[in-house]
Amino acid sequence: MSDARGLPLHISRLDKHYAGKAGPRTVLRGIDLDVEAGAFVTLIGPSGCGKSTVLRLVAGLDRDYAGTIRVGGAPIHGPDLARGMLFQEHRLFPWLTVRQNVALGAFHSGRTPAALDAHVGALLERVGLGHAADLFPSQLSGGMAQRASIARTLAGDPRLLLLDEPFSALDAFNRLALQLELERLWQRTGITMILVSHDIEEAAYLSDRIVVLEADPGRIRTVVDNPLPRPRDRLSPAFNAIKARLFDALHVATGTPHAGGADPATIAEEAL
Amino acid sequence: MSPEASSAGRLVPGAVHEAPQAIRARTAGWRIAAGRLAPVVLPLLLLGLVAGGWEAMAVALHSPLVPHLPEIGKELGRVFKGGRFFGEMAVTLLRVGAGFAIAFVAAVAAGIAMGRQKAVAHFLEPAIIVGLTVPGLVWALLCVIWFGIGLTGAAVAVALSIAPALLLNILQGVRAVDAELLEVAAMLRLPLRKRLTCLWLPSLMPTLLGGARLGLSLAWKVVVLVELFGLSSGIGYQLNSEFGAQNVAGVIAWTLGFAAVMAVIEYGVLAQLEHHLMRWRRTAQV
Repeated sequence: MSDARGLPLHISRLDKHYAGKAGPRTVLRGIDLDVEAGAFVTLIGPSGCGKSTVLRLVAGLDRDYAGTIRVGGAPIHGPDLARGMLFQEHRLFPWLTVRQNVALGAFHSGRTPAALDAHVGALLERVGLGHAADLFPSQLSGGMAQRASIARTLAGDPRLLLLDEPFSALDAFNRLALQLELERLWQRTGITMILVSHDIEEAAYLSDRIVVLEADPGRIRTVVDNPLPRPRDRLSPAFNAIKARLFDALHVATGTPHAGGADPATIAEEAL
Repeated sequence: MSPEASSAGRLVPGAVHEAPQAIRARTAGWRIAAGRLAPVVLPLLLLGLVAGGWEAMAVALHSPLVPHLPEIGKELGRVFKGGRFFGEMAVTLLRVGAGFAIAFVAAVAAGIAMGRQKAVAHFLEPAIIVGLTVPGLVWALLCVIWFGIGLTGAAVAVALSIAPALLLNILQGVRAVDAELLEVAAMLRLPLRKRLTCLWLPSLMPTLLGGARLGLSLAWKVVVLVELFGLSSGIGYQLNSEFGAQNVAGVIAWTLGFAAVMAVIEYGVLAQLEHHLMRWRRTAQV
């Protein structure tokens, strides 16, 4: 499929307040963000910076905001299957089998029952769950459940995928495997991806661009472009340079002295 | 090995010199056997004790008000002879079923509406409070007066008596429905019918089954009153005629038959239904 499949996202002057006991609290202030069709953009920042709130607003789950959000040039009115969302939890219906859960995602596709069945089967094969189609969610491992959730979202043929820390509850091996699968999916389908993450390596590995937010109120601090060619080598110096820029933008100490910082040898000498 | 077994091995006095493994093995074996037999033996034990106690009372009191077990057995034979009991039971069941169905559908609809819309909750709250306080006897009397004798009066009396309790029960279930799954349903743009069948009803299933038990137990009590006052068929009517004849053994016989049918519905139908509907649940290992 071509890159024309993804939908562009345009956000300008986005403000969001929550009503609190001590007056309204500003969660987002003046967010401007343009994501071209088929791009992979990550929002990263400390907790409370409102990165998940941005996703919920784009998803149409919360319609109480000020500013402009346009997807594919059109304003949004509530949720839409073109804007799929993956949550940190798999959120499968526990009383439905994997197959039934995925079929719910394609409920609006207008397929005949036989065609729907074939479509669901193909999606499950794609995420590597062909053998688990008739299991209940409680019988799945965390990685399998999140794969089933991906298949359910894909069943709605989304053109913009909102990923709210979908891998953060998984173990390291599953996380790496799913990051790889997500990258392949993105490359094959051209779906625009907006990922919310607090994992710097995940952001550096997957994104074309990383938007660094800060908290109180949530606003954009800086945007880090990531032009590294794919497939990316997590161990390469160029990759680590991107990570270093992100650590720096997030004001996170990495445990090694920065350029301009005091030299440990000097400190040791002075202590003596 | 269960933790209870190992702690028992340590706590039993005088068993200090025995190898702990042997004690544990023996205790565990005993526990497994007891665990298998308990669901059958213990209820039968209670029934036996009650029957024995009753017979002892009958012997001690020598009163026609406390008939001996054989007399009750004879009455049971008379009641069940020629399928008479099942005919009356079917009539009563139909009345209960009709009233229960009305109340159940109304309570599910009102419960979901109340859980989702605060205005509806405020509006209907007085109805629940008043409904819970009105005795079933009042509904039975009023419905006999309003609807006369027939299925309608009985069904309406049953529905009015059990709906408030059902509604209260379902309302608690609605408020506990997973908000995260509601968001998923919104994201997938599921239509109302799918939301009901794939989200609301399965979420509410434990509540609904509990409500069904509660509702049925209340429904029996009311339908018997309606039959006693205004109808010429059903278990309540038969109870009333035995009462008129001062036949204590007859009253007990009808009640025993009634209770047996209830037990079949409880264990044969509701428990099986629950087992089937809740099969997606991971069984707890502790």
